[in-house]
Amino acid sequence: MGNNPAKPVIRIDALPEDLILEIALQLDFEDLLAFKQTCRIFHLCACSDYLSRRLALSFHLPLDIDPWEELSALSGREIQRRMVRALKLDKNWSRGVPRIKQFVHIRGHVVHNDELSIGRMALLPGAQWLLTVQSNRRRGRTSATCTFWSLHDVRQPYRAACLEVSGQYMFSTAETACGKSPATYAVTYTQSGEDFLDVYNVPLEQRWAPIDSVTGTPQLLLRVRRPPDCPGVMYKVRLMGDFVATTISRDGSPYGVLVVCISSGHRVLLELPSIGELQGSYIEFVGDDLVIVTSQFDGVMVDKIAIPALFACSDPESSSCSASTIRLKKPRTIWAGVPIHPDAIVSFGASPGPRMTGWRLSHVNVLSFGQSLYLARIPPSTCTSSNDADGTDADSGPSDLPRSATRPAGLTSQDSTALGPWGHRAVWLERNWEDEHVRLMKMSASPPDHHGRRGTETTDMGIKLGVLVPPVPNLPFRPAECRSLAFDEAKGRVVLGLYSGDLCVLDFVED
Amino acid sequence: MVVLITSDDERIVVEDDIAKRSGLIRDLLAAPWDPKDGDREYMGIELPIVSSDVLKKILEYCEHHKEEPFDDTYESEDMFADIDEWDLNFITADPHMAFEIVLAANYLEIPPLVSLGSKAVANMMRGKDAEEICDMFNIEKDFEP
Repeated sequence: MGNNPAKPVIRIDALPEDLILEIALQLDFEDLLAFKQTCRIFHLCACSDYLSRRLALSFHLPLDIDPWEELSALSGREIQRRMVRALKLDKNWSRGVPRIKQFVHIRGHVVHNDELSIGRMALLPGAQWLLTVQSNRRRGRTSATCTFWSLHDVRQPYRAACLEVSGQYMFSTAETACGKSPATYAVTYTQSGEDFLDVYNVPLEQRWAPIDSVTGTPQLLLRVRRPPDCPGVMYKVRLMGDFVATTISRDGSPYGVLVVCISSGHRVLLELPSIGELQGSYIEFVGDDLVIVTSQFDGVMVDKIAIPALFACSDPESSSCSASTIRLKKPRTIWAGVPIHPDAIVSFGASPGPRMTGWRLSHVNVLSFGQSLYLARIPPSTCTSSNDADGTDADSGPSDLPRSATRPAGLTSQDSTALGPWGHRAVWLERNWEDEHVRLMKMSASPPDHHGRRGTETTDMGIKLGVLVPPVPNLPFRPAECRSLAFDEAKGRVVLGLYSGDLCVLDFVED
Repeated sequence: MVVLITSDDERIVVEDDIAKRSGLIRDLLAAPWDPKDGDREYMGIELPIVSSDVLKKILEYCEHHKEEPFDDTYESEDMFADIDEWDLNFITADPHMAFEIVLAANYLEIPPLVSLGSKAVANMMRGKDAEEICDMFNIEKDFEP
């Protein structure tokens, strides 16, 4: 074996275990895969739970870990299985035309809807539950049918619950505890000129639920009428455990976020600072924080508020605090150099905290179409936290941030855009006005700072555009028949809602 | 002064301050010494698994870093991101030496050098497949996945 007999050969596999671990910790996952195929000792070391968790924290691709899963509770083998899956998905997604690995067509068994088309869709975290919304008009009354679909076994999908919302549907969201029944469902709608926010407890069936089923009836937990002193429209809604939040807009301009504690009914109105014309507002719960993004035509503001702390200090008994209005201080404007359209898409990245438990905001992504496709990643360091008394950076000047732009081809318009929380992948329907063709498009952006080598912060995010589904695909539907879509970036799953009421599930990686 | 005796029986005389970069030598020198056992400097410290050429390299590193405080809680950071130029040249000059240095530094308990050497060894593995790693580090491939 040794090629220099004069000198005793040191074999690397004879190293003490802690030293092998020290070396392995310096490798990234792709190199570790080669490393662990060399010998038993390395294999043992490379599969350790400790090493796998450390790797997962610095992994550069979206990793399919559900919000309720704790990294510290997953085995090294399981974490590495998911990292391999993430690499496969990345390879496929980065292609000009990614391969569809699995296609499932679900017939919409709709009984008495006048309008069948799936107007809105959302995949719940984990991409196992799908929420669809169909708006109906029957005997002059408008209503919406909200359906929960189980995609646990995508070849055997079933409708697990249905719910009828009477009135003009605005927006809805759902959440499950650890991915299991029951779901909590929050919906905003207008009925007879009044705005409502309802929160339901929805038991999810283990089998196909008939649309008129009386079993497992959703139970109304909370109904909030828009307070008369905050005129406007309640629109986007988000849930986190015992809290529900909704944006309120007046004359198309957002001015506040209403946060309600579901069990106590206690409310707090977060009033956005009045600074010029606000165009859009986006909210998301990340960990215990409510993150609010507001946009003006040339910049965005990000604000973060710890919600449980907000309610802990306001005792419903004391009149000084109840039904309180909190005026948010002016957050720092982040100039994104991006023309922020009112229909820009904002997604919120989250990553496990340094102790591998709990989730915290990792960045906010903004995707906007104009002359070009623009993508910006906003690091949390530029966010304002309204919990801190009198933040000093409130009036500091606009800051620049990593951003990227690329020019779409031809005269096109985009619709139903979905951007993943990591900001690495997006899908949308694109209509070319010259040839009238509709394609399902995809974007892939390279992860920031691959291989962990620090260098100059690059503004080139390696954005690649491609076609997911061409205008006339070899599939039982055409993109022109799509009305809505849902996307899970880490699972590599796209669900399309058709005008016919059918659903198409497209998976871009095998399990 | 302290005398270090290497695996190939070379006696290397080193200043205390430099030798004490090593946690092992620091502990040995701190232990009480009975004069009946002979002259401490003459007896020296035997390092049976460190060869003279490796020790000389390590002492070169210790000499360069002798002003710095001891750091036993060295946290391994990103690759070569925060390595200063001298260290980088020191560890990448000879890839095979890097490997022997990390082994000896581990034995001698010099945490920053273990970390530096581990990074260098890991860097040699980057972008290589299993066969190439086996060749490079003289590993008998005893494993078929």
